[in-house]
Amino acid sequence: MKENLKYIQSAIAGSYSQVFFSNNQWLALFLLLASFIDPCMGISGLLSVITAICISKCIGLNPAYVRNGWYTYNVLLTGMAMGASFQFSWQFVFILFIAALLSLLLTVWLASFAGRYRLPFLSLPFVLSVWIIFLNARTFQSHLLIPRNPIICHNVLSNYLIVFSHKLEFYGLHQIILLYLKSMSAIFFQQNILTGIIVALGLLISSRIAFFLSWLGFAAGLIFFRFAFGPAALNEYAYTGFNYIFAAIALAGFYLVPSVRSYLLVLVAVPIIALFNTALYKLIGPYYLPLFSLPFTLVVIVIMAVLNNRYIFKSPDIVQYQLYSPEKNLYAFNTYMERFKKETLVHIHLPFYGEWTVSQGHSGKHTHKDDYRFALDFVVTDEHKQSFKLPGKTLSDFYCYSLPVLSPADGEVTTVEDGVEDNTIGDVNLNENWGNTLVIKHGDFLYSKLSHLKNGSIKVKVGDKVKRGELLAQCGSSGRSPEPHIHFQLQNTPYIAAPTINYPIGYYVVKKNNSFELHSFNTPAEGEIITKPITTPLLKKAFHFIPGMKLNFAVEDGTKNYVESWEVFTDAYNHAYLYCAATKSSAHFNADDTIFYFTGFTGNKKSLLYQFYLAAYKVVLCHYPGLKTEDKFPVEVSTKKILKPLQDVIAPFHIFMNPVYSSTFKTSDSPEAPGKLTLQSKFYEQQHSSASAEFEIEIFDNKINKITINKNNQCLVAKNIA
Amino acid sequence: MKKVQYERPVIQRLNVGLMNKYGSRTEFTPVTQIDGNAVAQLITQYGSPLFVISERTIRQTYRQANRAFKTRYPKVQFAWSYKTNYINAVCNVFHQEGSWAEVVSGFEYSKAIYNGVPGNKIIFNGPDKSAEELKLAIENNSLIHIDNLDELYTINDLASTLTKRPRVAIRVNMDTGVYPMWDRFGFNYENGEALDAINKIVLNNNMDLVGLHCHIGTFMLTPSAYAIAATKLSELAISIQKKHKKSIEYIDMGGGFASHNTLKGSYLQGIDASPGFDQYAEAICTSLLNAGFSEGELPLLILETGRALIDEAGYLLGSVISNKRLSDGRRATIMDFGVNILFTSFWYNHKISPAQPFSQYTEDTVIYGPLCMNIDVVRENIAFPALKKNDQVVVHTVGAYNMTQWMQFIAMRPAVVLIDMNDKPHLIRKRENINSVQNEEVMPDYLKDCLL
Repeated sequence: MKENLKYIQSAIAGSYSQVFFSNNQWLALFLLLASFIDPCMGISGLLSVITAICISKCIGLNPAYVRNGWYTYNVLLTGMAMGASFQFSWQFVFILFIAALLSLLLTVWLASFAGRYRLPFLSLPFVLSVWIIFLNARTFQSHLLIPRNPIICHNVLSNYLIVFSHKLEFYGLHQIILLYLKSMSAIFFQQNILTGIIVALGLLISSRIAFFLSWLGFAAGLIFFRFAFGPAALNEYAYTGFNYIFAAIALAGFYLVPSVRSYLLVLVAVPIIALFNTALYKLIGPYYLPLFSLPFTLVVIVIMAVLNNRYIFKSPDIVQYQLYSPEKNLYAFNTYMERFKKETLVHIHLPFYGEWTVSQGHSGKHTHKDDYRFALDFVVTDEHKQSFKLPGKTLSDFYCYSLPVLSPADGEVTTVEDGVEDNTIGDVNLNENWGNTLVIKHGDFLYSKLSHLKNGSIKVKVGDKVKRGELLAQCGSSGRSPEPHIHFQLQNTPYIAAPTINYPIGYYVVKKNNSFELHSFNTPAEGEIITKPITTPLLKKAFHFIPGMKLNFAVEDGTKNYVESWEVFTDAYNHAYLYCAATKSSAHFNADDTIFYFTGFTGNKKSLLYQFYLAAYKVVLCHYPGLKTEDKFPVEVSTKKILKPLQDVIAPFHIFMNPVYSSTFKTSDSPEAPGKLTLQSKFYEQQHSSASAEFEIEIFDNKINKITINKNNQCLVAKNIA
Repeated sequence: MKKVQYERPVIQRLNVGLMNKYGSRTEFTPVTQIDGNAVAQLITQYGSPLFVISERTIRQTYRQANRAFKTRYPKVQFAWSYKTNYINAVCNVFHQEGSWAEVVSGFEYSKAIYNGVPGNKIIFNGPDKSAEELKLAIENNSLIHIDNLDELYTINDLASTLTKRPRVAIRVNMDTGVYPMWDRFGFNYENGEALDAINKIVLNNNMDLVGLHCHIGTFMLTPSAYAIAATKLSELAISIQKKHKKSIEYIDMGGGFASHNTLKGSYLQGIDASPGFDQYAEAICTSLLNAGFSEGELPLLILETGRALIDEAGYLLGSVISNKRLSDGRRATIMDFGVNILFTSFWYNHKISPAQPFSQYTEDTVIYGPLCMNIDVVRENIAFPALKKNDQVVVHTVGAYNMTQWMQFIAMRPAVVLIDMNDKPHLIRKRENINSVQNEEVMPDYLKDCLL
């Protein structure tokens, strides 16, 4: 029962906030309030929403779409439009139910139909269902639906409110602001300032970007109206202006990531909407049908259809994972681009063990030219940067000769070329210039090629399935190879002489003066000493969270002691997360053999889980002494709350809040096979500021043993208890 | 004009006929300095005989070995075999390079602790471990390699009284196709004894079985034996994984890699006969990689190689005491070092180079040590230039086992000098004196006067 009530409550709130493409509860409350300024309309709206929610539950519609209001905001609009247009009576309520049902049906159908083409449906179901009712209204028996004048209200309270709001008009508020507020109130089928104020306030609280966009759309529309239709048309603008407001929020704040380009797109859309508006009015006017939000709906659908059908996807970027808030969408997008932009579907690893040197990088000066410019050559060098021991006259004097060559990723062997003699040092074989070569298919149009292998060393044959890291052959010096080395390239086709493609190496560790750096999805540069990261079992096991696993921490923060418990879950999209039931917080994470990282946090920022999210934001699962990792946090993590609204407004143009994460291995009992490790991580408000929080994660016995948090001179210790 | 050095006359039979490999020239060139330090100067400063260790050679050899394995296998760890050379300075050169410690007695264990090696980086091997020593090793989280069932039972008993769980491995012996087969240490693989010991450890659940160890022999000239050993240990590890659902953390392949010394009876010179690190590495790593572990589960490979890492870095400097001619006409040279401090001369034909210029004429010579014992022969037969009294020589490749197996017999043990990376000599062990020996003696009162 409690569950059901919560569900209905959330669905009702969603229906209101979704009008502005949001799931903000405060916005929902403000809008509910605004709708009740005209109580008839407020009740009709609420009634039809509840009806639709019950029907959805009965016929088994996707509860996720009902719960967030996605299916019912059109019903709300329909209900309110009905309440605004007809007098309240039991016959009206009956028709209202039918109208609610109708708009729900249209919504569900349009959602699935348009969704197939990745098109929005916006308030199309509302417009259609209200039209259907309106077209019937005059044919019905006269007592069924009695038209009402929305200005005349039979309620004392609302009368008073309207008088009050009319008073506001004399308090020197500028005409434009009045017009803006009227436009905002027109969304709720009213023309009074108070409603406008409540709606605008709700919008401001829920999203600064959306509020700014409402002004952008409003102003742009106004200017174009004035320019195109003359000053006389401005009166009419109070009734149609919300179209531009909605268009701005829908485009630049919802379907697209807020950016300069999406803002410009709004300016482009405005005149088109104006043209649609007039044209549609001419077309539909004879049927006495109001246009409502039809002009903006159609234009946004057209624009999104075009953007979805681009050949090259670039800014304005389409929001892929909807968070129902322009700020959240923008920050999530920025963080994603910063962190994972370069990540590839197939992770290509280095084809060898140990420390090797890139002897020729991309666009190298010897042979990596033109079609072959994205190739890499590797040799082994000693501390004097020599690739051979003296006298260096035979193949076996070269350190890399006959070293194992490994499969860079899982795949299937497609080409094997063997039987080419290894050259004597300095000699090259230009006839069979690739020498002994392997080509492995890792995916559609993704092949890797390993060349100049040792004669007779290839251990696989065509058609063999190989695993990442599997021993394939030995390094040799066959083909155009004056000294032993591995030639490594990625290509689109299985042919030996295929041109190279620029495809990054998944993860590799660069050694610089005895310190190590992990590079992800990058290309090693010529001269770099690189090695394939080797997973440390201790770290891998400690950060391996299996769904269903429970973690309990005894927390001491100096004043009180308590226990916080987390459980590991996976959601419908195969994303794993840690969930703390007590604080209702969840932290999504991702992990492979090399890196564990958190992708997002929702819930209570006072929980230990949030501290752990900050502390283990990105953990390299391969232990190299002194290896330092850095990453960027999303803006939401910043503790400078006062500046956040300002950041929100200018976020599409400039991000000045850049919280940064860094971590390093502090101590370990053994570099090769540690049994105990301490990871130290830090949280910085800005790139070069001093750390505002320091964390230490002690890993022992294959689990996270202890988390220490030092923040604002306060120390919090959490110990893992079984 | 350079002064022509006097050399005693030598009578040599004239060889006529076709060219043959017994040419008249010697393999020797004078070795007048070691890492930039004049031999004569070192002897003047520290006395004769004198052990000299080149830090540069140690580090170079270690890096070479490390590279050979790390470019072939993802997880490699060396553990310095203390018995090969446990002079603290030498041990710490290896520890600085990243080596753990491998010890075979309580005494060596204490040395490793003294050198600052953390307990969990000490591998405790060998047949002789007392209950007290085992207890200490368990407390220190050291890796204990169990040699026999009695030891297993002792650890099992200890484990029930201690809070720390012992981290153990068993030593496995096996047939790797070489003769003699070492079956003296550990549990046999072929007859199932090893598996039996593993079952006992896992099922008793008093200790953690973290590794498998083998040490198939010493001065192994065939890398393929290591390939067989690695395969057998991997099979064992995989069968433990299947049977007990327990991953083995490491496989310890022991040591036994040959140095460049020439074994007595070997036809080829050591430098030609002994495989290099690359060959051993290829044999071991290929076997492990092909054994069937997934990449993430590959066990850590531990190597306890001692001899091959230190032998070339050690030199023994000595001086001629006297020359004489034996009854059969052979020339004999008596040196101030013998089997007392050059124990390895029992099984190697050590290369010996004069430390001053000499002519091309050589004579078949027996090189004796200074002991008044018939067994004290350093080289039975060597074509050696004619040296005179007080001439100096350099014995090569003596870094392994000599500075641990040396005897204080008849003479005192000499000093040991380490030449650092900047060619600066450091005294790392003082020349012994009478007190070094007598300090431990206790004289009963009634024997204090010798009454002569």
